[in-house]
Amino acid sequence: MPREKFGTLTQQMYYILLCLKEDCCGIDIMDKVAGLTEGTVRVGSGTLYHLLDEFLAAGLIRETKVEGRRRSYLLTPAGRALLEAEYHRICRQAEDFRRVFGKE
Amino acid sequence: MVVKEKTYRFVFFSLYQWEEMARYLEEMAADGWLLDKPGNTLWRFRRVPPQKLRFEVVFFPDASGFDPGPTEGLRVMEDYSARDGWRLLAQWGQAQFFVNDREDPVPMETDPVVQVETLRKAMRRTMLPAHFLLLGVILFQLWMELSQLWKDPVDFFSSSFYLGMIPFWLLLLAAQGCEIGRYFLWVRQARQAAEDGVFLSAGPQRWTWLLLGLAVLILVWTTLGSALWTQSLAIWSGCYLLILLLTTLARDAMKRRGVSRRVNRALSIGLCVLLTFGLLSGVTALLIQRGIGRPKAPESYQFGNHTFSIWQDPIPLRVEDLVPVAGVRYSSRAETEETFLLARRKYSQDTLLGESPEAPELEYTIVEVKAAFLYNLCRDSMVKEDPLFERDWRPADPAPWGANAAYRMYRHGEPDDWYLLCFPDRLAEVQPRGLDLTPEVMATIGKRLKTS
Repeated sequence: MPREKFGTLTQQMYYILLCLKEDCCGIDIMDKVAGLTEGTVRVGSGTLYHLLDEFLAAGLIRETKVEGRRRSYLLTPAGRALLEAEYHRICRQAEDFRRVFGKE
Repeated sequence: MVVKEKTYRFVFFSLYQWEEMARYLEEMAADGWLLDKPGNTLWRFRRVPPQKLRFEVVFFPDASGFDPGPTEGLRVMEDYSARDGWRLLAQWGQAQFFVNDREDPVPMETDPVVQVETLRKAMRRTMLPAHFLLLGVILFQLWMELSQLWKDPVDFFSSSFYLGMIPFWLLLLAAQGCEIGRYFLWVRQARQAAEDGVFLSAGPQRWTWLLLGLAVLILVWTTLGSALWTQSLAIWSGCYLLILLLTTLARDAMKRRGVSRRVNRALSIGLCVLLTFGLLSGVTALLIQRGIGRPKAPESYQFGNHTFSIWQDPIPLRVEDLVPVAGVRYSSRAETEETFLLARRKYSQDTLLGESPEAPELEYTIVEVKAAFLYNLCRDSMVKEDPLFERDWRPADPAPWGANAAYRMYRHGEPDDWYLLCFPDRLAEVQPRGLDLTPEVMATIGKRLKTS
């Protein structure tokens, strides 16, 4: 069953939104995600472009600066809420793990 | 020895076969050919040193085959891609071909959910409407063919062209259904696989191309049965290729000149429509005027300002077999259409226009029903009432003709010299004009039509 759009976030979606807590240029997001995850999550250029486009259309991020083709983005309150919802979902999963195995 | 710098390959990919396209391009690059210009089925490659390259086909729903160059959005994606060593190699509508010479670059698509949804968006904008439009055209053609079967089964079953066109359109329908069905199946499976973080390739499209190949074979086989159809097929195929070539050249020329997408699309479609109607009417007029594919009469004569043919075809029953005629010039014509189900032979013996107006003439059609199950269908269609011209067939005495059953034509309620004779394996329509239908004449006509 395909997911509802942005109902749950994929790893790529999650980290791109996370990087946009602060104003950031599109191309720099790839480096930020790699740095944040110590290289375990890699965001491809095609995926990044399409996701920024979708996030923008859904009002999850907004454009802050346009210098030629270089555009910067920032998380909106709606994006922040979505990110928090995803965070709580992941936390619940972690708690469930602890409850099942009974330890940290 | 001259080394070829360019080469062309026929390729048969559907837009959503991103993985297959990328692997194919890798194989070509390893053989020393780099993609230069992709197209619907014909792709151009240029020679490069054989090398190991990575390719990715990325979809850009906002792109169009009429764009004068990469759009602003695509340029932004190019900037992102350059960071990982990817460069835009070619565009084919919404499919963008990227190449990378690094050993293990970060793939351009790293999220299968995003990739499937982007591809769906691209397909919904252009390819799917085109596929459904084509499906509609095929269904319309099938309906036209079947309505001919309903209207005139004799005409339908005696024509190898009509008979051949049914499996031809059915195969096209199956191929189109296969293509559309396969796409939707792939979307379903790919979306599920994406949930598990897996990119799902579409796999080969053998069935679609096999069905299309069979359809083409049937079309060629059908048209080879008649010189007229063979020449028509060659002429119309030539016209189609000419329209395709001229429209593509015009579109590419406008792209090079930087004409906007909207103007280019409008002008290209306009040119295509103009060329289609122009060539359609021009070639049809030429075919009729020159009589291409039709047999030539051995003689001709002038009547008024027009030239008429004098045919000398052998016909099984002549006016001279029924009554003595002397000094009358006739044109005798025989035309046969035959399939394994039915044969329809049309014969006529007419006086020349302006000569011997009182001389008798003959016109008759023999329908030989080879498949017995079609007999009643053919007979019923032949005796069908024609309310438009107020014509109807009424039963007549078959005995003088030596037939099993006979019908006579009535126009506006008045009997006409036009008969339908039913024999065990055939039906014969006969119109004797200016003949006195004595029992001897009727018996001779019946006997000859029954056995010819």
